[in-house]
Amino acid sequence: MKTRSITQRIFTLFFIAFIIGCSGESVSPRDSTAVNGSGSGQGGSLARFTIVNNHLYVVTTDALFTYSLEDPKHPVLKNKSSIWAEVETIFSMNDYLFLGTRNGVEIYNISNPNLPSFTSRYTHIVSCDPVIARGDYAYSTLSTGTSCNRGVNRLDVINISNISNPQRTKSITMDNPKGLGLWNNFLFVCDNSNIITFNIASPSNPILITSLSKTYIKSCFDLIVTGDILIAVSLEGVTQFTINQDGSLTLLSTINVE
Amino acid sequence: MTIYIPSNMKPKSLISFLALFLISSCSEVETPENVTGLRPIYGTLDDIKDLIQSKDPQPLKNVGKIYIKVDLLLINEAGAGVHIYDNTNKSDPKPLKFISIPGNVDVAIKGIYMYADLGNGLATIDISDLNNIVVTDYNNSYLNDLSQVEPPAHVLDLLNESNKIYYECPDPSKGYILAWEKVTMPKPQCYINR
Repeated sequence: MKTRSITQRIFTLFFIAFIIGCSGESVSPRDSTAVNGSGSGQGGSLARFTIVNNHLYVVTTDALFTYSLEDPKHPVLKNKSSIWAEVETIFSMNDYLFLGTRNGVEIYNISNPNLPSFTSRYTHIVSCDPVIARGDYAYSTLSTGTSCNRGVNRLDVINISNISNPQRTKSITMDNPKGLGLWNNFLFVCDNSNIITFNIASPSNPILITSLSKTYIKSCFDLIVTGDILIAVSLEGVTQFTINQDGSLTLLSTINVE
Repeated sequence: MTIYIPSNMKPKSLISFLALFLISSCSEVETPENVTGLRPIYGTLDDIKDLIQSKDPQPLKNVGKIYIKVDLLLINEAGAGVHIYDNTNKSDPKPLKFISIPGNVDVAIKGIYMYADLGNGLATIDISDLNNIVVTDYNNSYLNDLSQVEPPAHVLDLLNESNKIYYECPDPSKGYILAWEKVTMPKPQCYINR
């Protein structure tokens, strides 16, 4: 018999809920509902979509799809790469895509953006894991959450200075880590119902900052860091913080689930 | 209620006895069972435009992924669409619109175009005027033919409560499956063991 973690049960309850037609009070929108700007936006560490310049990359469980957005009104499928691992997330850095899979991280080169080419693979035991990267290091959380029935709970630090041969340099045991984000010398991780902060002044060796009080976000599962703002996503809602110079977080607002 | 079990009964007989008891009790209380499952939304590609609509803001219920673009904050309503907030003031994000997109899990924005998965494909939506969004493209190239036979894996993730995921058996005579929606339904014949 498989055992299920509390987090998994929480997810279960969440997903059992039948999506009822919403009939909330309407709120007056701002005067202008126009969307401008030519750039692309930013997803969280659990995203399956990422836009790099003029291409949209989409991962499904077993494939990576490449769309050209040359004509942004009409994406054109350029390539489909089958991936022999259960893919869950995608993250891009420079000329590379990092695919978080249940078996590890697959790295693809997109110097030819229409045709991603396999570069290397970092494998670990079966687990759920988003991945982010900066410079010579990638950080990946492995958790037993959501639909993963096996696995461990830890943060892996992967040296990618030789991109064709990624090497794990450190593993840090955690409670149930999920989404993660980087800001200056800090790495933030949604771990169980807390946002945990690591100092990564030495990128190969994240050090848990124990002097900061943990920020409690019930059932936190993803993070986005944008500018000096951290946005945490949980089953209870979406919470925004200012990130202070010492890595501490100051609450700005919460959009609550009703 | 107490059940009298003869003390000299052998384990095998005991199991049979209990099994008989269970079977008889089940048959007495049998009612049609409802389950939460996935139901296909049929249609033609033209119907996509009717399914994707800009609506007044709605309360957040099932928080999915988030996406940010400058001062816009997008929060996915798992499997149903996207809440759009004006996030100019991070201390007080203001709801602008809810865009209904059945089966939606992920979005990305470039310029004035939002790319969104729609259960079985990729929709392109011009969001330059949130009051008058325009679906400019729908592309079902990113899922294989199997998506017409059973729900794709990332949609199954919306229904994570058990190892057995129920879905209404597809009926090709009803048309093309555009998306799958999560509903409560009488227990269907089709299911997937995960």
